[in-house]
Amino acid sequence: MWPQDPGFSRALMNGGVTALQILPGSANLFGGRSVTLKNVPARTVQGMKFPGAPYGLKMACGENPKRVYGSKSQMPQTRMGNIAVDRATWIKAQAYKRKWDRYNKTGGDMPERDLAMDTLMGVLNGQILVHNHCYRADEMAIMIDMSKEFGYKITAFHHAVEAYKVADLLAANGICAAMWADWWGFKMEAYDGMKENIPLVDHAGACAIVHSDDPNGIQRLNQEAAKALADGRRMGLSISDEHAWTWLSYNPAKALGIADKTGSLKQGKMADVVLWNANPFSTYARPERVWIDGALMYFSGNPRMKPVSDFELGQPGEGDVK
Amino acid sequence: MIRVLIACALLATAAPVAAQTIAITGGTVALGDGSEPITGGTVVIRNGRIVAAGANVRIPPGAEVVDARGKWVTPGIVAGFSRLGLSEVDLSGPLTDDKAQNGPFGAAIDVAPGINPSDTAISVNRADGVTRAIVAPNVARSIFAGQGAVIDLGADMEPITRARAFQFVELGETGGNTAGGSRPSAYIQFRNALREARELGRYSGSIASSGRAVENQADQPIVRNPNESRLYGPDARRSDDVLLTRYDAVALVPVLQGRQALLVHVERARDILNVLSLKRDYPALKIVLVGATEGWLVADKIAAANVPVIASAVNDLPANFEQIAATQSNVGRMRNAGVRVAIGMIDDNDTRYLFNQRQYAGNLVALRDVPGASGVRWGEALAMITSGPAEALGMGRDIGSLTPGRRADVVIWSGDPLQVSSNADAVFIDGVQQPMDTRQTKLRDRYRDLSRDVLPEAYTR
Repeated sequence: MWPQDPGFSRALMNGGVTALQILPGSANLFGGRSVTLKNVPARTVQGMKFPGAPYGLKMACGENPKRVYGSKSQMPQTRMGNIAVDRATWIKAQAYKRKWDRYNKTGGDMPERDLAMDTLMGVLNGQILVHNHCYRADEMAIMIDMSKEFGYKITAFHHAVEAYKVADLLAANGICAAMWADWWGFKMEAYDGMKENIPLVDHAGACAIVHSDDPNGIQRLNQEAAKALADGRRMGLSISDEHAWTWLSYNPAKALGIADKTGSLKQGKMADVVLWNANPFSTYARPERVWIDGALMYFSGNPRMKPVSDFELGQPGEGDVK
Repeated sequence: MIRVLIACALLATAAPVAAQTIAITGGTVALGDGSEPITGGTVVIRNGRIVAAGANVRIPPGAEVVDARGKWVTPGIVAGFSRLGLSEVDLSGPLTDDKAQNGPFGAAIDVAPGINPSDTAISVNRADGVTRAIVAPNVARSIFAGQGAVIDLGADMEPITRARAFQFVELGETGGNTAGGSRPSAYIQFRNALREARELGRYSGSIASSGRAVENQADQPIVRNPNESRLYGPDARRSDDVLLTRYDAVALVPVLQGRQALLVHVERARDILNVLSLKRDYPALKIVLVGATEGWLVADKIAAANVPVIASAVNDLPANFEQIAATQSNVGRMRNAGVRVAIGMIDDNDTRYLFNQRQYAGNLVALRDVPGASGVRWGEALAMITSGPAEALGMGRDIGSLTPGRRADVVIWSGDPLQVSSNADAVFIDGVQQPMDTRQTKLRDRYRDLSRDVLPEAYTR
């Protein structure tokens, strides 16, 4: 994580984003740990970390691991390979956990540590949240079965362009879906994407999230939610504005395990607040002020209240409105 | 003569059931020419063309009246830069037609046969009010990507409005990489290519004097359709000192002569100036700048050169070292300097998310309320996604606005089209009302209710 990435300032000033999760890519079935940050400029990633946020584990289904390893003619290479490698890995993780559980209970020689297995054990112990990149409905159902086989919980499916086909399954299993408003078709497993995905998942009683996975999209999450809201209403669903706002505040906070700290304007929570100059579901709305932990981090009316990353210092347009 | 021309225009429209007169009444009408919207306006369509639009328009007797009270009426959105219709699925799918990575040709490539009117991205964008698109090929092995087309998004098998409407060339970072690894290499490749085109044009016949009928097409060096050109014949001489294939060199003859627009993709301020300076050596070039993320730094120069720009609307990240000065105020600042600006989706999900242009246009309006930022007026923002792209290609008299005589590409919106919460209620292309259902709406309707039925979902459609 590069703390000087100029994208943070854009997400703050244009998107009113106060907290965000950053995940590894989807080439690997087990991509690694995510990090949850507050959108405050700092010299180090430690300075940005969201206090008390749990770790996340990125997992991936489908086409990307298949393509990346297929091009190397290596396992997993196919969707059946994906599941086989997943399950074999969880079997190892269970054995690793048994060793550590025994050691923690009875002592003796400390088992050898394995970095990857430590993370998977954290998942099996319920301390690390699983964020599962998965597009197709049938694959989400398989991932849910696999989580039950090995005794862990999937916190959220990411991208989930076919979540609307299994929205009832997501609701029954308490799994969030982090989705785009209208992305589709850029690869085969995104082919059945459609514009009512978010409202239909919401309508089924599941936890719907508007996400970006993109340095531009994160600047317009409010507009992406507005699109999804309008499409839902157009198909006849009754959704209030204040409910739709949970798609980009409370629900993502829930998926990140920080809903007790932020994500709504509830007494005692962190004062992560955006003052918009208009209804934020309007295309014409812009953040006017953004507070994080009660500290004013952006004010559109004060040029000194606009963060400029080291990368942009001394470059054309330094300190410009972006 | 005039009558004949009109008859030809009607034949060229070739639109089924476009003959009836339609009057769209009572809506908020925005003409797409930069003017602000008119409440309670009327739009009259006949024979696939706009007859009248605005306030106090008489409804012709016998017209089919469409009530648009409470709605907005605009020209259809024109995708200012796209790869629409060239790729059903971009990644891990079958063949896409936006570029030929291993093909031998560059400038000669004509994108038109690659455009699939049944591409689902065409129907999805049509249902969101996009009616025309500028479609460019992607570069592969030459800085010249080839000849792009202007298409309509109508639900028929004839998508081409104008084939070979422009040549597309990369002269920034992508151009440098394609040319072997530097911008200077891209420039000398560009100059060499135009030299070869000039030589071919000169060797293959004399320029016909104006007013005299051309008897032998081989005498006519102006290439309207390079693929059918006589410049391939045995009399068309070339020197031995050539890098381009004959087809590629021939394709650049109309560019050199200013008969075909040249769309040049550059982002960096310095690259923009380099492109403008090409006009000194090749005064006939009809240059259109594409991208121009750092255009605001040299906006006065672009305006002075009177070169139109098809810009990325809200590109604000220093994503590489040719876009360091990126800001959402770029479009507004260029506009304030007098630059003719339209909006396109340059390397921004250009095969499918063209419907985002109206969102971006709305975002440019929003910037007017941000201190220190430069936005654009609502009417200008709409023009940037309707008449703007059309005029950049010299097609403003045919498409992009509700001015009388233009093709009747009309959208009735549920509200302000620059609001993402508004949707297209009805779409007309060449005066023909278009279907609004898509593969996506069918998926929605199949899965809107997940409760168990007598038969599985596969039987619901």
